[in-house]
Amino acid sequence: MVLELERPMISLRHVSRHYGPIRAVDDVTLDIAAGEFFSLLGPSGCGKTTLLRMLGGFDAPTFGEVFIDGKSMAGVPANRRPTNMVFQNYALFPHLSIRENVGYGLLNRKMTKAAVADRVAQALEMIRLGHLADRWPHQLSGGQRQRVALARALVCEPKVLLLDEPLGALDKKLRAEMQSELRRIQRAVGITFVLVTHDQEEALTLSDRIAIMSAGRPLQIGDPRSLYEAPENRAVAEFIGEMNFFRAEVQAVRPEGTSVRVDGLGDLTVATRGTVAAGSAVTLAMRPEKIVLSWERPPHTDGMIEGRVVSETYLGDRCQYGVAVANHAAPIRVVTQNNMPGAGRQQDRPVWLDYPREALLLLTM
Amino acid sequence: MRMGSRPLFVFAVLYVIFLYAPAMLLPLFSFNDATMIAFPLNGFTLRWYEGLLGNAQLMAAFKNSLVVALCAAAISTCIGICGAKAVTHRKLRGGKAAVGLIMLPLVVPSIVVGISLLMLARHVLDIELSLWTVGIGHVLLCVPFSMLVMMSRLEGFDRSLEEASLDLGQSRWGTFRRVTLPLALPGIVASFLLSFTVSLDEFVLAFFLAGNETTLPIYIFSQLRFPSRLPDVLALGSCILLGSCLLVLFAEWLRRRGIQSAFSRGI
Ligand SMILES: Nc1ncnc2c1ncn2[C@@H]1O[C@H](COP(=O)(O)OP(=O)(O)OP(=O)(O)O)[C@@H](O)[C@H]1O
Ligand SMILES: [Mg+2]
Repeated sequence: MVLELERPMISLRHVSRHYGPIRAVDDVTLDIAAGEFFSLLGPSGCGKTTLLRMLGGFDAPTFGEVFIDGKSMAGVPANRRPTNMVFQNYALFPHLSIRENVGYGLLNRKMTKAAVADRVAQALEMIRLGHLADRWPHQLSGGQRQRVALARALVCEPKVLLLDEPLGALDKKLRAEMQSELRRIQRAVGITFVLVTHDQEEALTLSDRIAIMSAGRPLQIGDPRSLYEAPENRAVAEFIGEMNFFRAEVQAVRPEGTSVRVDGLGDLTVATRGTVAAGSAVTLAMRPEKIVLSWERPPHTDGMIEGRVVSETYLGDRCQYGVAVANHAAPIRVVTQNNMPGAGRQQDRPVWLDYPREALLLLTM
Repeated sequence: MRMGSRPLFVFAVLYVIFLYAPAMLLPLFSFNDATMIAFPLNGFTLRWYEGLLGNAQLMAAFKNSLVVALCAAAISTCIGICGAKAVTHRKLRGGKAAVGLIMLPLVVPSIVVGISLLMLARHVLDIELSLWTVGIGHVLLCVPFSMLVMMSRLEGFDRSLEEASLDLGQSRWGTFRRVTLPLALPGIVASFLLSFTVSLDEFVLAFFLAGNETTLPIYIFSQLRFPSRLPDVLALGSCILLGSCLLVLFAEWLRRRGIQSAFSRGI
């Protein structure tokens, strides 16, 4: 996907935030387009919240500059930024009713009472909680509070909506519901969303683009498909989804591809990515679901790997097998759909693995 | 009841009697138709209570005490709110030391505070002793109580509420008024009541710092020399007892109603 970033909604230029010796955010430069659903994904402590708080105006960069809608945000406090935030714990005001909570952001606007009431009613309708307007926050369920927090932020019509793990406290089913709700609302209002999450599935299903963060820096920024299908380095490949890694040595670099000698797979030619030189050590990566597993010996076994099942994990709709092969230390992980007869309880059986050559990704880092 | 807890139960009963029986003698003898405090009781009368209302000096002292206590409670609660807001803010440096200094009047004997304030007023600043000086002394004494109450209240609540208010376009002052204050309200009420009672029955500072106008505790003390006035004092004591019971009940009622329903409408 190509995004028009001529005039980004958010620009970060060499933004850092240091807490003493800790570099919570370390020299981040990135652009987020208007109307984009952008996610910051990464393990705990990688600086996602810190980055988001600098966008919202609750924290100031130690170095670097933040631009929102073309204007520098240096010295602009939270109450004068065109952003609104949905807090992780929702932060609904316990002493105000749901209606008053949602209308809170309109208190200082020059609007008639009727116009405010109208906007609040509309927002409550959008989250389908109009019938609960006169309740108190403590009388709502977690999912309902979440939606109220969302409505309270959206009613201000910000240019950017910031969400800090908004679905973290919800159970799995409710979370899936809220995800589609979030996506629907974002499409409807067309506001730029910046979502912080450590749930990769959430990031993959919701986002237009994702920044994978580690130790205060984005490792790779891209749309969900390219991140999953073509991770640029081992850390990203490891973080998103499951991955098999193979050690390999580069034999030669040719126009049609790179020849490698791979532990467990033998000599192969794969597509060249990054800068590689003959003789250097590289890593090859392959997703478990790209591998085709045969229980019977196929007529032609050229290019296939023979192995033995050493573990199986039942996942409901899928099964994951660990297959030990010669010349490769870790068992290769293979995922199959549970729609084939004969699956299940296959410990120690010999199997044959086949894979498309383009499923092998060359990683230099 | 288990056998093992029997001695404890007896102890508890004795302890409660020890605590409250003397206080109960007050109302008992205040209705007794005799000047002497002695059994057997002589018959029921309300004349000591009527005497109270007729006693201009006493009523003046009572009024003085009320005014001083109300002012001291209001001022110390305001100081307590601001001080607690400052020291619970995570960015404040030297907050701990400031808290220590503010808490000092709790441990310094009031007689020392009284003498030093008296010297300050008469010899350094050269101001007349009056209810003002008493009030200032009482504020000094009440601020630690207010601070303690407000600090525990403010520490307990979620910072992100204030951030959310800022985020939704309110200024710092608007946030303080619309979010911090309402949420701190139970603490404010508690701090006010506590300071009020501390000031109302404070004797030592008032004794040093009062001018011609006396406060109630000083007046009562001065009356103890005259046996004939004792029943008046008993009636007064009973009224104060009743008043403080009502105050405690009111505070508890406020706390139970909580912030949820009681104070949201006007905000
Ligand atoms: N106020 C602070 N003072 C000191 N260090 C801080 C402060 N806030 C954050 N940090 C540190 O900065 C780093 C990044 O923190 P941050 O909260 O941004 O992580 P995160 O990615 O949001 O993690 P999580 O997924 O657990 O919420 C952490 O190492 C954290 O300890
Ligand atoms: Mg976080």
